[in-house]
Amino acid sequence: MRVKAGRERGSALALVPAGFLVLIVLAAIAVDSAATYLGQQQLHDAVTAAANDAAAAGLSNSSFYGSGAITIDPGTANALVCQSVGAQSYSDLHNVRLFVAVGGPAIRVEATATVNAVFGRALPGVGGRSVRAVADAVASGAPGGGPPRSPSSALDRASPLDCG
Amino acid sequence: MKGQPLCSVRSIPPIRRRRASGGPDPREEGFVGGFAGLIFGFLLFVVGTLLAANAWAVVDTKAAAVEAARQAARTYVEAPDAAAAAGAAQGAADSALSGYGRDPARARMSVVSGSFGRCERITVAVSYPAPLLVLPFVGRIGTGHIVEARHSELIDPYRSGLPGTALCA
Repeated sequence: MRVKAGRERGSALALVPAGFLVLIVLAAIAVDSAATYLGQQQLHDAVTAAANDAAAAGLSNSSFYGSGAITIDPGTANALVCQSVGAQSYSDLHNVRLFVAVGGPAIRVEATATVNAVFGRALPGVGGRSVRAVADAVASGAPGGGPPRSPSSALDRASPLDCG
Repeated sequence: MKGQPLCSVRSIPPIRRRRASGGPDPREEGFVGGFAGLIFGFLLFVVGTLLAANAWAVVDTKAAAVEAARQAARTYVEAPDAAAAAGAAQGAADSALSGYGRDPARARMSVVSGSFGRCERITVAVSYPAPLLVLPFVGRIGTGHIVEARHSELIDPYRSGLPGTALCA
């Protein structure tokens, strides 16, 4: 032990800043992860509101008055989804891409976006993280929403939406 | 004691001899390098901790404000009439902030666009002052940025109790 202590005398001084640096890097990773999670929550809120708006206001009048069926008009739903997501004005989300699928009274809105990292942007390659969110909504004529329905398999084929 | 000299050159420690000649004290060799490392580590720790704690406080407050804005907007569009909508939205925002451990009295909620009507798109904004620091066992200290979150919702076109036609898009 004496020999070791003699050769390593003073090495703790160099380890102190290195240890602090590791702690700070871990804290930065924690903050960036929290920011990414917050961005994912915001994206989820946005697609949920968009799906809800499209299911409420995108009903096809011709279908309802023609056959009595409650269906969502794809063109109207797409416009409403674009309008709804654009109105959220989330400054933390970038490169938002929307995918919409309509099947009868059901609609699925899917979105991907990039969230800027707080500390990670100082490093090349880790400045942004990709997040994804999906929301389903079903239009119903019954008070209170009616019985729960499972979205049709047509919703699995969501197509990209160009909001211009 | 007989025959021994009173003072011997060999008994003087080598340190004293070196210091007398103006050289560095061997016990303090490397002190400057180590001291600089300590200062650097301390500054790194203090500045890094302040940065991380402040960023965490902003992110945490933003999460609370986002949830409060979403709850307020949802409650506003579900309200039975215009008179009850604003109060219900304020109550929902206060509840959401309380759930996140925030003081609702420090928050500001407002409907920044739209009005209570069929097919109207309303946008609710909630702002809250983020603390400067959040420390364990101490709590929130100081006031930093004002964090704002917005959420937009459409009032149901087919709901009852409102005038107008159900044409939104």
